[in-house]
Amino acid sequence: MSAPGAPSTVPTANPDGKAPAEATVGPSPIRRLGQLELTQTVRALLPGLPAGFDAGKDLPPDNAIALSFAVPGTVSDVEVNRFMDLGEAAVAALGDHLPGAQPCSGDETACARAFVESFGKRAFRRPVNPLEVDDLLALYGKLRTDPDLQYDLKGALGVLVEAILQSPGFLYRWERGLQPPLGDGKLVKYDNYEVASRLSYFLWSSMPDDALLAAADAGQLAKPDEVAAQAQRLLADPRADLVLSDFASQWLELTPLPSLVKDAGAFPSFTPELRLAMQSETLAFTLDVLRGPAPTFTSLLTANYTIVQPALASYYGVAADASGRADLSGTGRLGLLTQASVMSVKGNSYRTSPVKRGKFVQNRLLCSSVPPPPANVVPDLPAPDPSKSVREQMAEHRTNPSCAACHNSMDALGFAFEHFDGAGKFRDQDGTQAIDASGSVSLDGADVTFKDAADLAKLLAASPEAQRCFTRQWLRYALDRFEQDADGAAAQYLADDFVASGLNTRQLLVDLTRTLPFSHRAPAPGEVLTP
Amino acid sequence: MTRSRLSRRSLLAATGASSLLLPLLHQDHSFGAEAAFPLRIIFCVTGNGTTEEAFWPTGTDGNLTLGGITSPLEAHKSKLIFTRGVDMRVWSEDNPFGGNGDAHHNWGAVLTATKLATGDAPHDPGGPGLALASSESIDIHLGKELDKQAVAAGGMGYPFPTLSVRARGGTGSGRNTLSWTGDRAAFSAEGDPRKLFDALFAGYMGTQPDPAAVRLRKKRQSVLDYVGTALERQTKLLGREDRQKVQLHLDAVRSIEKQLQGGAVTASCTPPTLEAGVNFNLDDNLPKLVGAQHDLITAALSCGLTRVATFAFADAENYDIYFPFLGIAQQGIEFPTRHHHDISHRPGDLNVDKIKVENWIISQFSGLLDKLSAVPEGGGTLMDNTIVLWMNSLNSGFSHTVLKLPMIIAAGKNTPLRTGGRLIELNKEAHNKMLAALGTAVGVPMESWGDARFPGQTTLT
Repeated sequence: MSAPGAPSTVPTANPDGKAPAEATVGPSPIRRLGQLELTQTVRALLPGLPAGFDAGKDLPPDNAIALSFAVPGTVSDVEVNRFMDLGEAAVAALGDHLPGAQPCSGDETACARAFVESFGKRAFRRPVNPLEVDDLLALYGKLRTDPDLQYDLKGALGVLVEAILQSPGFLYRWERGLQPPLGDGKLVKYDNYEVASRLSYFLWSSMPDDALLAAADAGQLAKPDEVAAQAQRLLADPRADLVLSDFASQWLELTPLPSLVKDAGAFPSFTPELRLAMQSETLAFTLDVLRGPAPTFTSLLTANYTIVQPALASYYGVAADASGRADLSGTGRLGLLTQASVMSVKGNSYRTSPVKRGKFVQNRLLCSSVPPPPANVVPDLPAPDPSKSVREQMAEHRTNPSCAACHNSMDALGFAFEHFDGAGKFRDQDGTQAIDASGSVSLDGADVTFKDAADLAKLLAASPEAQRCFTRQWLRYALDRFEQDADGAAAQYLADDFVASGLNTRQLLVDLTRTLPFSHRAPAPGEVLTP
Repeated sequence: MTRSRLSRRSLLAATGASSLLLPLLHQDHSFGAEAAFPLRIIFCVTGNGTTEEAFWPTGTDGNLTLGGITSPLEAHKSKLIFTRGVDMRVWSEDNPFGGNGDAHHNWGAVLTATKLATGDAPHDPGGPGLALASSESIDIHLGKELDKQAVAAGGMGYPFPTLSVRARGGTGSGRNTLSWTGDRAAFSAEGDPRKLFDALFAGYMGTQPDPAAVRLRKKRQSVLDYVGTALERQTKLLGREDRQKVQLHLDAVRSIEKQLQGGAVTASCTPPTLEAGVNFNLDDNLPKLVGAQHDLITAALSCGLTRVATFAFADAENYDIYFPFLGIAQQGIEFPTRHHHDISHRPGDLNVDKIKVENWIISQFSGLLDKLSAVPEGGGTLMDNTIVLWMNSLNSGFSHTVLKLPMIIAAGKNTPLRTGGRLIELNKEAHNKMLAALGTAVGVPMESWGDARFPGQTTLT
């Protein structure tokens, strides 16, 4: 799917925020808040909630997407009921801590109006339209006066909070209120409030803070430089840690790790505690790199250290200092890819899975999709043969021509990790056989050879193809959609910019907010725009 | 028990009703004479295929010998029709992504009997990859049509035109969703028995209208009315595709509003009792979860809240379904853990666990038939007026194929289907034709269902 028209040659808006006449950008469908966003937003919006309140607990989880990041589903009866339950549970848990409810002296309807306007603005992430105020006040009036209802002021305001939490202004990422979208030449330009939310949901998975809303009020989010300056601020805030972790978790496909179980005979030390230690390592290491002085793609893939809890330090055979930092020299490990979390998730119960590991590298590090096996394949899996190495057992993948087309490259990448067993522990032998982790891969149009995983990690870190893929993964994460042909110039700009910055990830995230797909979108068919 | 929690189901449709021991009895749903009992239909779907040698019966019609997997149906044999030779041709002949492992994404085709929405292939980097359906599913269609028929006959219609329920699994994609209201419009199944109970029955008991329940219901109606207005205002501003998406939300709000207005409950209706304190999420409690959902489906059908139910055992892949209560250990063979997917990934003769698990799943189907048969209706039972289609979305979890789908129909004596313990042999029969035949049998005449390339009906009468 791509937008009509020639690929864009313009990566960013003009300094005044307007799109150049020849610019193109992909369409961007309306999206409701996902599970993490909703949880974070409810918490930010209602600071009076008790610490244990988990807004996301009963919400339907978002749907994972191959090669990209999870998206929330459409809304049907079940979801409407869940939103209703969430609204009621949140207000019940708030008790007397309704947000911004002032003691009311005088006209109670005027107090309700003030509440709707102030709370509504935060909940909708933009000013409440007069018509929307009227709708909410009509509900308020009914709550107060209907003979079956007869709520007092406080009770009625609580129900207004419930109603607002179920309303489209809160649940959907649409911060234009009742105004049609803003036309800008052939494109739609996100207005100041939309940009505020694009920034906060991208970098915090939450609603804008007061400063960001104030910047939107003042019209200071229209130009790329203004947007990038706010992005810098949000990224520097500890609240961005959540997004850096969430990205790493989804990018590395670690979501199954906490509940992963292995064959106890094959991997007796793979306990629930160790799994959590593995997850902690990846998140702590990612944050350490991305928060540190060299937040580069190179560091992520090839840093010669990690941050581990004591249980994992001994699993790795390394000595960690008091902060958990451990040198990896001599361990065969380097950067993220050889961490036990990744190796375990992409491993089978009783052995390694070169196929899963290879496919993962192709999908997430090289952004190439692997087609499914042909329909006539019956995967007649032989029983494990302890006298053969995994590599030998998978020989048919490479000798059978119908398998080889895909498996040649997939398995070769996967074999690089054979020094790490199905639970991520280093080993020299596979059964009775010495490990052969060498192979070759086609990178940037040339065949290159590697001797093991550390070698492969270095090749990937230096590969323009892998570097470009990393910027694409972030673009998908930020835009909540796949990039399209029409976004081509922005995607290319980011890839070039990333190289120019020395592969600086923080710079990448900030510069991403300058791009045209961040500030603009293609109009949707049937949409009427504000000129 | 969840009755103490007042919920959105109305206590009574009218607030001024006098003291009643039973909830309001709407005449149009008071099935007084046997002839007046309407037909119901349930679609039960599971995934990951079967072991064919142990599934299909042998012998002759009226004298079948059930297989090792299907043996739990012995007591219900006379109500059964096995149909062997039904293929999901809409998938096997040109599914958008080839075949094999991707047949795990076929749930959007099971009850729609159409191809998936284009651009939604899981391996298409240009699309969202959710394997979404492209059209309405037959359970939703039948629900709407039967509701229309009831209203046209002067009745109130059904508060839940279609009741979509699951045990495990998730929502929102073609890997886990059977019910669709239209193109890329998932209709989520309720997987939490307590929430399902609330939706169906909470606030239902009591000797007279409880002012707190009336107030809660009215508050919710008022809030939803506001939400509906806000959604209407919103949809007007959107482009076509977005408008359709938000319209689904609006439709759902209106549907819950209708449920809150108080539907119809029959005199013969008894809400089930949910066991208190059970953590339905525990693997050990899967049998209790399935049992509770089956109880609730049975009660909803018996109470006139719906005539069409869909029950998903889990999803099309079952990665997180375990069977510790069958003594099957946690560690997997091909996958890290011995979940249903792992169990299904081995060839038949090697796989005693697969037979054990599929036998248990069939025993749950049999349990549903027990429950339907235990509800008196007129001179007979609810089962007499019910058709149940039980099917697997694959024939083999090992080859991921959709040919000769494991398919069993159970039908009561007041339905037009000719049962008696039969095995009908078919040859590459499109499953579209089976669905069309069942839709017609329950009272919505149709010449075909789904993809126009596969018209007609399977003969089941």
